Amino acid sequence: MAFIEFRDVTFRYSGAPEPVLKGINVAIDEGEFVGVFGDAKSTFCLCISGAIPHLIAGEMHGDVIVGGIKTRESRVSELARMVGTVLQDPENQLFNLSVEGDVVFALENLCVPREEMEERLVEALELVRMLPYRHHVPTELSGGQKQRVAIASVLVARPKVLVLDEPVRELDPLGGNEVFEVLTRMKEQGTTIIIADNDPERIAPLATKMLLIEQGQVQCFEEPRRFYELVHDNPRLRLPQIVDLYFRVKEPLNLHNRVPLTVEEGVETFGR
Amino acid sequence: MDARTPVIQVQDLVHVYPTGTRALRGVTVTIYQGEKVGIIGQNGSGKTTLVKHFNGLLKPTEGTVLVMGQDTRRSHVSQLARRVGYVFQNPDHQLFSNSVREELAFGPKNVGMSKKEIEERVRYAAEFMKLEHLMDVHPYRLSRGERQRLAIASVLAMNPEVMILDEPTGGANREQLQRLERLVDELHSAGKTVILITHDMNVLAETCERTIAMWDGRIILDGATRDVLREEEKLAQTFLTPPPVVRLSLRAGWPQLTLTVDEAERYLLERGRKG
Amino acid sequence: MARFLYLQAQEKKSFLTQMHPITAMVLVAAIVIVVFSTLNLYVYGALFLLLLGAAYFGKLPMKSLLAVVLVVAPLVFFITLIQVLAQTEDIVFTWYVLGRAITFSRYGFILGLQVAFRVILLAMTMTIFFMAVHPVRMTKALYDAGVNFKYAYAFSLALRFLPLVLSDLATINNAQKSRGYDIDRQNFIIRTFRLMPLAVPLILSGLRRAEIIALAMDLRGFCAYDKRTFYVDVQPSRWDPIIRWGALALALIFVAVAIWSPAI
Repeated sequence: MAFIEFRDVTFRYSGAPEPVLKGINVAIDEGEFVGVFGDAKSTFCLCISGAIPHLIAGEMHGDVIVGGIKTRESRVSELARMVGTVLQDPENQLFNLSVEGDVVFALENLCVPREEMEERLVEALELVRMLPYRHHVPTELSGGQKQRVAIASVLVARPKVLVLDEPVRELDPLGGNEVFEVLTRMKEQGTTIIIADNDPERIAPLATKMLLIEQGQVQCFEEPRRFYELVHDNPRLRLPQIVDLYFRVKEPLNLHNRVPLTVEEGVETFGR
Repeated sequence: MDARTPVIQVQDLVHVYPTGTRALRGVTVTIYQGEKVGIIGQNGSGKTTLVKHFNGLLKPTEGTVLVMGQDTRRSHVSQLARRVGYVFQNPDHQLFSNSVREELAFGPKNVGMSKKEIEERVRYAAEFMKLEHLMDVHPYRLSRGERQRLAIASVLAMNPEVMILDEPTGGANREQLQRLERLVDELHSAGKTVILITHDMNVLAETCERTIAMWDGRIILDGATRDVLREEEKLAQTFLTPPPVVRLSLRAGWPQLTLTVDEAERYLLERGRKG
Repeated sequence: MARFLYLQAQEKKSFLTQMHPITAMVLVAAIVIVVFSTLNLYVYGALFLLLLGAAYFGKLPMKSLLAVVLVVAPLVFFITLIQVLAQTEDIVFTWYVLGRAITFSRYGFILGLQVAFRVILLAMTMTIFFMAVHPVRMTKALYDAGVNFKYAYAFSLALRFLPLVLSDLATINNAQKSRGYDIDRQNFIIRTFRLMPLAVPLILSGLRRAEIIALAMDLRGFCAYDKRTFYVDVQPSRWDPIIRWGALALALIFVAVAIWSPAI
């Protein structure tokens, strides 16, 4: 039984002529790290948290099941205990006047007793390495720090799934590194991670599965190397540079190695 | 003696914001006509502050900035806008008109072009950015990619000699990145000097022959992109990483650094052919 | 500046910063009642010293407090001057300029000082209030008092996002300046349509920002239930009702005395 299941999911934004998801079927096991690419990747992510259909206007058919619960039949606040969602914009996910305030926000909303809050607050801040900043005001933080606090603010609910929609797009390279450090740690802890992005360089080495959604359909859902074998010709899909290089020279040079995803693997594959 | 024409000359530039932050600590750099320059650095390194001096949005606290010979201290932004076009990162911070056509005419009107000139410029910019079929559409009906093209077109319509693009690569897919790379080349062919501020090292390597790297209000590297990206250690000190294909060539000890996937491909095929 | 106020004060714990926010509100109300029920400069002087003392012993940043008073100072001068020139009672001397008489009234001087002092006292009271009461504590206190959390939280949200909206405006202004549009150079009778290049992007980015904030808040369970718990602990002590009723009673007694006694 998969932990997250999309069963024939179709969704059309209100006012849009065409549905952006047309009968999606995907099964994700617990502990997986899934990179989501393509044109409806954000919509896909919003379905997992229940934002679709509860918070976003539109027509949804089919079911999304997370941990045995149908998102359609559950409230977003209940799903928030299982699914933490981090959006692209670090600034607008911090609405309180201190880092602490933002991290306990979800706990307060979910009526967690005050006695439990301190422990969970510290735990979440530790996970993102922001504990020394607990009394800081959000405006004093860098983009990467803000996004890490945003991650902590959902981790505090101890969710089993972490969904991130283009989390590093507005960050500088250092901020992006900080966020991926956190994700690597979360992966080691066994959290299921779903991350939507256009840039695969940092995702491919970490992912257990890669998902491509185009024209509303699942085009490919495989582990990274197999994924690239199948879709490397896609004109809209950004490839990690090493992968791009590999497929360009694979035939002429008659290469039979597995697809290299990192620079180190590239050195092995292409040699000195 | 450099035979090239300088378009932007910065000498010992220091900039201190009213809050007291010392954003630039003595920057000296010259940008020449027709160059494609990339500026990289973490947020807070001073790159945006530096570039804002190029069209007079900011004036030097100390030092001088000459834009095509004019001292920016003695000019106003609206005058410099004619010659140095700055496309901001978020197109939604610029778009406000009722139609694409009006939006494109805004800049030319402001800089005092004649009616005939405005029409010409609007048509030119629309064609250049492939927006001719959208002239009467309301900007908010456009997709994000189209709005970004409109923002660039509306600055291009003023026919500046220098085009500054601030982080144009956010959330772009493969096709959109290729279009951006072509755009930089086309602007270059049209005789413009292009300055690209970006976090995307891969795009930088594909488009900019010259790179300026900044950290803590200073320029730490300035030169041919190939030479700058070779300095892995220095870049690492500022948490910047060269593109994978560059690191591959360095780590694998190839005879030369490969800047782009194309170069790496060519090298490998050459090497393969030699057996 | 609002951010500054509560931030600076919160570094030190004092009777003021630990005071229950509702009690603080009641005290402010009492002071306002007293200030408006009299023009007696001695009463004002006493209140002034009282407020200064409270701020000092409450470990509030005195420099910032005095800065606020200084900001109000030009207004003080202006008010006094107008009253000196306008009042016709008790004229101390008269200037003749170009055949017209300009009178300086002592009655006007005192009246001006009184009104000006009133402004200063009110400014001081409000400043001390905003320095002493942390918005988070205020939100909790209002919630306890029965205010729907959404409204109680509104002030805190405004404090957080107003600076960002202003910085958006600055960015938009820069972006449009870079297209040759410069409203700073127009005469100050600015016609509305000239503000469109600034207003439209600002409103739209404000709306987009609100959308994202609302989504992010909902994803963190905002207003999931009718009730919520709080990390901050704000409880009224047994002294609070005494202080509140006591302050109100004193204020009302003062009003009564002021109405009946000619001295005040």
